[in-house]
Amino acid sequence: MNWLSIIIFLPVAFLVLILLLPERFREWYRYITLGTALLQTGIAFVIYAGFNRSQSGMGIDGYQLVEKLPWIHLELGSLGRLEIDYFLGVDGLSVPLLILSALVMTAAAISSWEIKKNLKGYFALFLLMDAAIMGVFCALDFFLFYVFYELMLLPLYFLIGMWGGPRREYAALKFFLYTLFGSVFMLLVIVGLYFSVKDPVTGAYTFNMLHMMNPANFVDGAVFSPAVVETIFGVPARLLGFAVIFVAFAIKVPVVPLHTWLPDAHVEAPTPISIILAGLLLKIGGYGILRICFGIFPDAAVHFSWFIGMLGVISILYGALNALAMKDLKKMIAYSSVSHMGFVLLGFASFTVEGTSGAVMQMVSHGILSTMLFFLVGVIYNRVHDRFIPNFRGLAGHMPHYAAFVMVAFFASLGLPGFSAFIAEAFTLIGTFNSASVNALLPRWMAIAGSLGILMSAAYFLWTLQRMFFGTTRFKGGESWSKQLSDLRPIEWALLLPMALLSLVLGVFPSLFFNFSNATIATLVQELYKTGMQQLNILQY
Amino acid sequence: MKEMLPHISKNVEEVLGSLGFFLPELLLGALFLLLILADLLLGRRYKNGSPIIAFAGVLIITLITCFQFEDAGKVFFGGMLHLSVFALLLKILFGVGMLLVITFAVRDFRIRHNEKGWGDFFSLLVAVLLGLNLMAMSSNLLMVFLSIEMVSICSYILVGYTTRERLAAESSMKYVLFGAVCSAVMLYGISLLYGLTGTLQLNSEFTTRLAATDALAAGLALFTTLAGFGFKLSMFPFHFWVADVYEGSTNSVLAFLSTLPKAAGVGVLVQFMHATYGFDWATWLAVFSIITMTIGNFQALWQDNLKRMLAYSSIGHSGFLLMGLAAFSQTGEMAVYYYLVIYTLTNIGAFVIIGMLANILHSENVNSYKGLGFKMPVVSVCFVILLMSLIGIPPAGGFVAKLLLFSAALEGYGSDGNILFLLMMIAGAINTVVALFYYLKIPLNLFLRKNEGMVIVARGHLLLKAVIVTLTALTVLLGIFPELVMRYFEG
Repeated sequence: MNWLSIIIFLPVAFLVLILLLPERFREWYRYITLGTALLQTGIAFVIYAGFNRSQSGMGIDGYQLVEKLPWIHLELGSLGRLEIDYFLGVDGLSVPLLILSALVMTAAAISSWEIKKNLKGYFALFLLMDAAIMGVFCALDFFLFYVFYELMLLPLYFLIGMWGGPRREYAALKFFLYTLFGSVFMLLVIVGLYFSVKDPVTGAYTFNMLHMMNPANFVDGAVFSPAVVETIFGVPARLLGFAVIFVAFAIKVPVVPLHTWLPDAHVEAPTPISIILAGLLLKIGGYGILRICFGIFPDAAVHFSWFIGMLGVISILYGALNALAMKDLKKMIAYSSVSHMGFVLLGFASFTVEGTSGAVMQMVSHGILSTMLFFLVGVIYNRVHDRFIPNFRGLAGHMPHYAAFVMVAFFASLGLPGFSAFIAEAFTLIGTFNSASVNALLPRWMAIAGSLGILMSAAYFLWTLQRMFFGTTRFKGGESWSKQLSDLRPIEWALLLPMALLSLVLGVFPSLFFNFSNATIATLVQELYKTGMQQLNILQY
Repeated sequence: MKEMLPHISKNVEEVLGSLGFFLPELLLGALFLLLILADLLLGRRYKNGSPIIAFAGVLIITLITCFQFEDAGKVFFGGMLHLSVFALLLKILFGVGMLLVITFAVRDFRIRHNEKGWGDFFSLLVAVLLGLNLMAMSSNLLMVFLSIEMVSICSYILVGYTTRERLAAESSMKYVLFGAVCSAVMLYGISLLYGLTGTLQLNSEFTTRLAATDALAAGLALFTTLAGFGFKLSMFPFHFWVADVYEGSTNSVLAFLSTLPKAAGVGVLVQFMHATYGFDWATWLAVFSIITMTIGNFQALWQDNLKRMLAYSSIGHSGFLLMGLAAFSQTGEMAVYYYLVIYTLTNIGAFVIIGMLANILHSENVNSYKGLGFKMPVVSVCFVILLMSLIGIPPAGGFVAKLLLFSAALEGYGSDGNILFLLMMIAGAINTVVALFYYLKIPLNLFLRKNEGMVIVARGHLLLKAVIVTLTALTVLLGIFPELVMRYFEG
């Protein structure tokens, strides 16, 4: 039992407590949840402080706080043994995301003050999802990862479906179907993978992801063996396996054209759940692509890098264009998420250390900023139950503090130097631009197209700012709205200020992140590229 | 005549020696008689007498069955019965399932307030359990036929137990007709097999002789014989009876009908497949699997009546079971057994909930469940978890079951490269998503929709609630620790 198990199962313990507490203590549920999230944040920073930054590697030596317990060991008769372990560990890639998760969860817990009905159910589901999200970032066993990954779905379905907006049924179902569609096919690949990989020590088939990442552990002649070219339906099995898992995670990211669940889910979800969706769920997609897709199928990743980069560029531009056209503020921000997550894909595809570091940083930065953005939308929506951009004008004069935070969040998101998004996007674009000369995977115009995306994000953010906040104060709801639209409350300050500062700190001292994860990401990128190229030579039939 | 005499003593010895292995079944027979007598003598004074005797008896017999592991692998009664490990495990599953069904039936309104009394009902359940046990163990085609007929005839009566209602009468009639035709076809197949091989024993002799016959003739004989098992398994093309019969049956009968005969059908099919080794079962079962699961799940999409929905979904589950059987390996057998355990627990649980809610709402339509989740939170949450298990979402047991089936199918692909295995896996994945779509109608109505005007007359359903919670807990527990079941296959 180390810190990782504690951070995962702490919410479960408090979940049980909430379930046991009678209904008359329901106001306590909020504090219990907030307390859980704060405790998790504390643990996350303890992990951050105790982390050895120079340790890196593709095998078990690259991971810290490793915990491995035998879980399911089955004798499968003719097949031999099957090994599933309770296997946790973190490296420079997962710790930043773990900290982000704890922070976003805290923000979401604060934002949950707006929830007024069925508190017991809400907070129980909230904590269950919290545990699952933490688990996803810590799991090193594919089975365990999948269990956590799927465990998120049901709570989210209910959280969107029960506490969401008018079209919540549709949005919740769509979200569930999309994700399950991706993950069921991923399950098929998982089955194929564990049949292909044997634990070098015990000789049993294993779900251990680290073993799957080491080409030496593949069984000769197995479906996904990199040593020989197995084909399924005439396509090399490894390319197919990569594509299937990539699609599963791409749905989560989301990558255009698999993004259509996102605007619905984000818009219909209550504010705290929008925050979690944008702040964490999308990152799980990105994390999965880098850790699992790229980690296990580096050859296919190199092979498809152009397409992945292209999908990134399309997401950036298409998301931005859509955001430009939206009249609903929440939808605008949802599409801006699609656009910003495109950078993550572009950075990964570049196979450069700068690009990948930038992409991971973009995940962290977008996690912080989207939390702010969705919360800010929630602020006015909770006051007047309207969030259409044309219905507001001159908010800056009416709610100056609110407007200040909106400006900070907007400018940070559009990549103003000094904020985290600038560093992240700059590094991603540098990596993309260098890719042409370093490894010739991505053409230079993709970097240029990416910068165009930044330009467009400036356009939609500034235009929204101009429409909603400047000019003479005029609201659709007239006098009653003016009364309801009071400026920020202390609890809203408590959420927005730390988030804004965090983005600023990361923007001014990016080394806080880069120094931390550099060793891991540098090894990861170099090793992936090297093994990828080697295996690709075999694959070039 | 005189030369037969030494054989008689040998036969008698053999029969006497076999009795020890046959103890649970003998006791079941005795229990059946006891129940009839008890109902005749005490039925009027002690209404709960029959179910209590039945429950206690089945419990004891199941416990005795658990001690049969040392006899596993024995063939007895002159090769009529074969107590394989798989059959033994199935027998334990039948016992546990029957205990749940008996408990459920005690609180089933249509059984409890039946004007014919309910003593016969429990003796029938015991009789059908005997039939199921014989089905799982039978290793002689005659025994196969006898045991299937025993189960069928008992099932016909169970379905028609509430025949005062028009729907029940209709469904019972449909069931009888369809079952009779399938039995007849199977009998025809068995006669062909006997003609081809000269033996009714499902042993190695049968295998070698069958392999020597003309492939077309053997195939015809096997397919016609398959009709009998297919009927029990509700696999394509013998699935047409399912929805109508389910809709007309009362819920406790349904909890039985949708689970245990299916498991027994699997048991017979496994024995039969072992005996017909060499026939290309993989290809055919894969094709049937794909068609069965697709038909079941897609038809379930359009249903609002929960019984019909679960009827079609049970056809879908048969498709999944066939996936494991098609692989025809040790992994496949294990996966199928695990799937059966989880499926039996979850499906009985689901029908208990449907029955309980039907008692309250007088409706089995999913739209009548609106907002119920807030009135009956425990039951509703359990329902959702059971449905997740049926879909195959972790950590419920259905997920591990599906994973094992996929593993078996992939192993099958690895061993002979038959592309149908891959298609079957893809069909399984697609069907899982389809299943999500219709199963989610239930949580949608339970929790997402509001129904302010609903008044629930809370009645004591403590027994059923206890059953529901236990089953849900078991489903999750077995999902997290599948070894609790799987370890019996090792060694």
